[in-house]
Amino acid sequence: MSRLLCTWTSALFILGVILFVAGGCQKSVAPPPIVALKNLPVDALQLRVILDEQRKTAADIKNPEQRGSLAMALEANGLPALAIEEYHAASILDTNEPIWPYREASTRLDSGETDRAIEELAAVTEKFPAFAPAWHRLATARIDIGDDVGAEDAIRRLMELVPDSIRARTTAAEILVATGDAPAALKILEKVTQEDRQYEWAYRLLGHVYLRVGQSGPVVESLLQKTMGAERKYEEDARENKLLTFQTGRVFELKLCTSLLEQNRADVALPRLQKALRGFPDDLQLRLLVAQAHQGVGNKTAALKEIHRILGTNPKFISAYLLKTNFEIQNGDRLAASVGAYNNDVRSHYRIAAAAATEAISHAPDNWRAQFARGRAEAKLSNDAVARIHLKKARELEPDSSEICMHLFEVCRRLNDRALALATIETAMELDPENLTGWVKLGMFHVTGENLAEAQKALQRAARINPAHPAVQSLRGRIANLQSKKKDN
Amino acid sequence: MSREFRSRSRVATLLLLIVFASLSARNTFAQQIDAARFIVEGMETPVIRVIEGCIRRIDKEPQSYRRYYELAATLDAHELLAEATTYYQKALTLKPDHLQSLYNCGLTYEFLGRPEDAKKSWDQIISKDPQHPQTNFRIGEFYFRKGALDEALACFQIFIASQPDSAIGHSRIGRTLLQLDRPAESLVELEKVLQMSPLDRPTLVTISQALLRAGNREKAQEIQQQLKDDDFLSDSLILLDPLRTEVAIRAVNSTSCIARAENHEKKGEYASALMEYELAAAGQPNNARIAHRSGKVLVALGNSASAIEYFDRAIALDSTFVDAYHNRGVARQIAGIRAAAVADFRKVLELEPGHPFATEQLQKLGEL
Amino acid sequence: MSANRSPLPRLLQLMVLSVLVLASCQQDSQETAQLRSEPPWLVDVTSSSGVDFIYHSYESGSRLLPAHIGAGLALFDADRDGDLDLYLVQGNDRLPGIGKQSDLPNRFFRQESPWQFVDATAESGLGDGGFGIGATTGDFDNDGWTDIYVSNYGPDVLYRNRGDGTFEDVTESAGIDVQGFSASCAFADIDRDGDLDLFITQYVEFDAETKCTSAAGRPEFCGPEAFPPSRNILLRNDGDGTFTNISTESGIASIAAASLGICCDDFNGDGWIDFYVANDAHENNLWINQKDGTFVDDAAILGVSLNLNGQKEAGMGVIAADLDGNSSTDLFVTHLDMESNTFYRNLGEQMGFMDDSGISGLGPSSMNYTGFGVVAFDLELDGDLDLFVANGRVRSGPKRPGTKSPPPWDHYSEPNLCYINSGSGRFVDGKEIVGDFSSVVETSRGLAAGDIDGDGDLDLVVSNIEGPARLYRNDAPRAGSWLRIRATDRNQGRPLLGTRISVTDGDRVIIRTISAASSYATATPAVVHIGAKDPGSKVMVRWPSGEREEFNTGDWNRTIDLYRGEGKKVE
Repeated sequence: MSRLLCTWTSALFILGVILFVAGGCQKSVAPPPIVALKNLPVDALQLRVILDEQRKTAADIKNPEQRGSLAMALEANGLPALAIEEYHAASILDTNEPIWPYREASTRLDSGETDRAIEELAAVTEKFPAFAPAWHRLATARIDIGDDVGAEDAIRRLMELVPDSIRARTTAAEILVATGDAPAALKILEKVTQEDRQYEWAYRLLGHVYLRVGQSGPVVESLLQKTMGAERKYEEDARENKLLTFQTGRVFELKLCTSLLEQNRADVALPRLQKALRGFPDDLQLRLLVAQAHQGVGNKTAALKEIHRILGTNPKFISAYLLKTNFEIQNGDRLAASVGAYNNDVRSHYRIAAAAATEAISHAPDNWRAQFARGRAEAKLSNDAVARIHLKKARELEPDSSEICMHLFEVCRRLNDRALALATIETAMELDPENLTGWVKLGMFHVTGENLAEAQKALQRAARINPAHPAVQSLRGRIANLQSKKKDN
Repeated sequence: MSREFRSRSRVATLLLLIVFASLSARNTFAQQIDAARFIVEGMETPVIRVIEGCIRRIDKEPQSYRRYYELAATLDAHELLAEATTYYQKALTLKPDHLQSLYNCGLTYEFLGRPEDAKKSWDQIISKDPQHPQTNFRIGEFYFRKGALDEALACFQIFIASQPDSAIGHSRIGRTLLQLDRPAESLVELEKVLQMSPLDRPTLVTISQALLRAGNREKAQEIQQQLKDDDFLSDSLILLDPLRTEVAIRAVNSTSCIARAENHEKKGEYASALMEYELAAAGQPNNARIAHRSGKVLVALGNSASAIEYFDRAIALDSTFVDAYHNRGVARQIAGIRAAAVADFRKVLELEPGHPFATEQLQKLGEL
Repeated sequence: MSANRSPLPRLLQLMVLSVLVLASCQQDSQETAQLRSEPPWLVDVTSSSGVDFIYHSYESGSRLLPAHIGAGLALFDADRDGDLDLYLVQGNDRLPGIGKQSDLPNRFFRQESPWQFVDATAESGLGDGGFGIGATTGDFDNDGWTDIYVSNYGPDVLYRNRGDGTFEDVTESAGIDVQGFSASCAFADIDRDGDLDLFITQYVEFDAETKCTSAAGRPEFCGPEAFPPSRNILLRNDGDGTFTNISTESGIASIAAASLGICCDDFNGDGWIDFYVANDAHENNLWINQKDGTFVDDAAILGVSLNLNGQKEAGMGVIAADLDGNSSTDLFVTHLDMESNTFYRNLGEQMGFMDDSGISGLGPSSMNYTGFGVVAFDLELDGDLDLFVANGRVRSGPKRPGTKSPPPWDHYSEPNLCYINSGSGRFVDGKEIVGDFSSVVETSRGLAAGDIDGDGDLDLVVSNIEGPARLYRNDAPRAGSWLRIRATDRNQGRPLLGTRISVTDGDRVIIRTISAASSYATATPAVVHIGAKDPGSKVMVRWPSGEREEFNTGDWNRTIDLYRGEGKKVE
């Protein structure tokens, strides 16, 4: 019994000691005040996100996660100095959490305080040696300032933590390129890009490495072109995803949604744009994108409604007329394709398109886009003579567009204005010598003019781009026919 | 002391010796690398980085001939020739028949004005591979320069035997034959060159001389007339030399990068050119010309927004840089920033009154 | 080469030369050993001469191209007292357009007695403060006194010799307005109207904002390819003290080619003066006089535009002289390191030239040097021309042992080269015997030869960047006799540039042309100096006007004056 009592007493004593020590260690820290958010250089959309986070933070000021969340909202919307303060507050409130001091250092690095940021990152890695994102960021920061020895050390530590990480291995390749071991970098990058076909930065680096090992040419060029906007990505803590969700603002939304629309992702763009429009109801640029997004998801009525709202607000808004022209041409084309005929309904779309372009021209006669739009619409209506006038005017205003030239060529060809047609398509091919269709059209044009030698030249150019293309084969056939015809004669 | 202990002690001593031996071996060469010999003040950062990188890798793999070769080739690419020969030789100490080291070391000797040493290096290749084409070409050049024409001819003929489509090989044979006063044979070879490179001006020059010597003055005059009239003639003969290319591509100094970028530009490879200009800019961050060129290729790539940023940088570095204003005006015009474009064209006219393109642009924009 | 040469002797000659090459190792060492037994032949006498001149490039790290191009000079008899005076051009710490003149102008040293010069810059009025590159001399106004033209990076200057020890700047009154980047120049009577016209080479359209680096990425002087090449200038002397720019109508300006060196002679034997221009990284030009005020570039046709491999080289200095003793004028052009200097042997009979750098021994030995100034004269009076080349890099390289230049020029300095002619057109390295000339390691540019002390052999002057201009006295043992020939018009009193002189030495004919322009940005004395072992007694003269006359030499080892119209006419 006494033995049991003794055991219990000892246990309680130990527990008491543990509690005492633990209580003594966990000092009660006064939460740092929330950053002042007055006169912020942000727009309404951004302010809404930031204030939302501020409100939550005010209600839970001691919560490091919430402080970090506010910091992210600030960082994501271009307020790094305030974000740094809030990250710092979060790291004071939770000294065992690496993400906040890491984000503080990262934000500092992004805002150009390189030396201090590197010091801070080094401190994070020292305190939290198992936190891979800090090693990664430290490594790349050191690569960027040319501290290769430091970078190599950080990469070594990083690779110990995440040996299979695509991003980390890409950085390992990056230091190898910078220090002159491109063949070793090449081995890594070829593997990495096979494993992850989405990481553009690795592809871009691969392109760079190809150049460093003396390989260049169309493939490398294409690789580098496609990855022009690629950016490094770092090892991430899951909570960093929040940064993306906080990112907003008029300019950001315009850029993002334009890109989404270009990628035919109108369904993703539309809700974002609608949300943005609520913040900027008078913004015609945004509304124009909303119209485009509606058109993209197939809601033609809503699209035209938005366009009419724009023109109701500003009847001189040329882009809206041009968009309307495009929509109507598209709608006409789709209808023609679906009914398989060029009927009055189809023509009606083209007529509306032409009218919208005419309106645009009345406001801006020297706008080549307006002239081009009218030319295209008139061509659709088979008013080739009128189309020629407007396309010629468009070309005069914008002589470097091969697209205008190609349209003008078609119209002239139909009008049997062979001299202008030839001159125009020749200009188009000078402007865009890689246009296979252009060479084929030029070849066909010469076939119809029975100019065999020139047709063959065009065929050679087309075949150089893609010898197996059906259009090239077709042209080859036409030339062969012409040859045999000439032989027979 | 027990026998077993003595035995263990011997093993331990042996192990220690091996450890020390390996440690000292590890540093045998590495210790001798005094980076200060070739890394000096004012050197461009990318160059320093690649050289130091090579040295660190030697430190990690001191017995690797490959690492010494890499350092040598890197130094060679940056025309640190005397130092390059030292490390080619180190590589050859570890792997005496290393082809790349023998070949490039020879070339480095030649550049250093030590042709006899160059030949010795190449002779080692020939002793193993008498038909090695590029080495025979180099030795041929060595004899040719010395005026030992028969020997040169023999070497060039070995070269051409394995590279029958090499225009430069036929050219060398043709020129050597001419020098040997054998114009008829020379003409046969030079005609082959012309078939492969019809617009090569130096070949036409030599053909006209060979014709003169062969007594065909009329034909010589015909070619001479072509030399005067034809604006499309150029120097087009190059030796395809993978062993040398391996060295040349290591150059990361701004001049080499710019040269490569220009080459890419000529081929319409603008993204590749941009990459080279970026590397050049790493070497010369305050060079307005490089920033300007990057901007120009970005315009060609259709990225006027980024191009404007580069032109901004060029102008920040040189506020009187007419071309940068002019091209920024063009980029801004493309980007639809009309007022800013007009301001740039006006600035061009301010800096260079009467600048034709700026005048034309302003007229086009209705501002003049 | 003789005019009636058949292919067989040529073949034989080639065979002999081939044998010579094969035996070159032994031969070189034998000849060098033989030469080595003699004492040093060129002795530096600068320190006691009173010439205390240093060309300042004012290089301070920016590596601006003009800083390493200049340092030409003129060696001429300015006061007609029979000895040679010295004019040295100076660099500048400011690029043109800044306005302020340099505190250190060009300097003129008058020779008072053998090897004793005094600084007469102030009294002579020759202290131009432009960014000096070089100079050339000639009596442009036919008053019998040698005038001087100074080429600058910036406006050039023409000084007229008043004949009283002073010069006046007549640039403006002469109608000369040459800006840009001038290098070597040459006076010559291109239209046979009896007065001297002027050819000015122009280098590049330099832009100080263009920065270049070495292959190692260090700041380095740009090469010519970094800038657009300039077009040369030809000024016609109108005979009234003024000049007219005829660059365009003469055809000279039709080519832009980064020119640096020039020499003139009658290269096609038609009696009219032609120009050979050495271009940096561009094809060289041989401007053949069409006799109507126009010129046509026949360099490619005549085989002197490119080297043996068909490559353009970095032409700097140039000399036209009969180096192989075959009675036709050959050409020798100095080049960059990793190229070789090039010897274009004149094949005669309008067969053009052939690059014989290898066979002659002049090629490979120069691969490691960047040559600028070059002169050919008969060092030991044995009847053939020896060659002297002033060297100095344009790209930084490892320091050469014994360099005397201050930083950064210690990385640019090189020893000069001397080649002794073995008599057959083959040259051997003479550095062991010439002593100081080849042992001093500096960044040399200008080089002129002249009999400074009047003792019958030719001495040398070298100009250096950031180093003293040096005078070398010729102490070589004499293997023969000498004759100094001045060819003048008694009425005008001026040397008739372009006059071709022929004398015999045993059974061979020695030909020389009177010229003041060759080498690199340098003016040399307008006299002919001939050495011969078995001197003949007749001199054949072809005047610039095309007339030929024969004179008696009389005794050798003296100076003779030949006056136009006073010899025996020859058809």
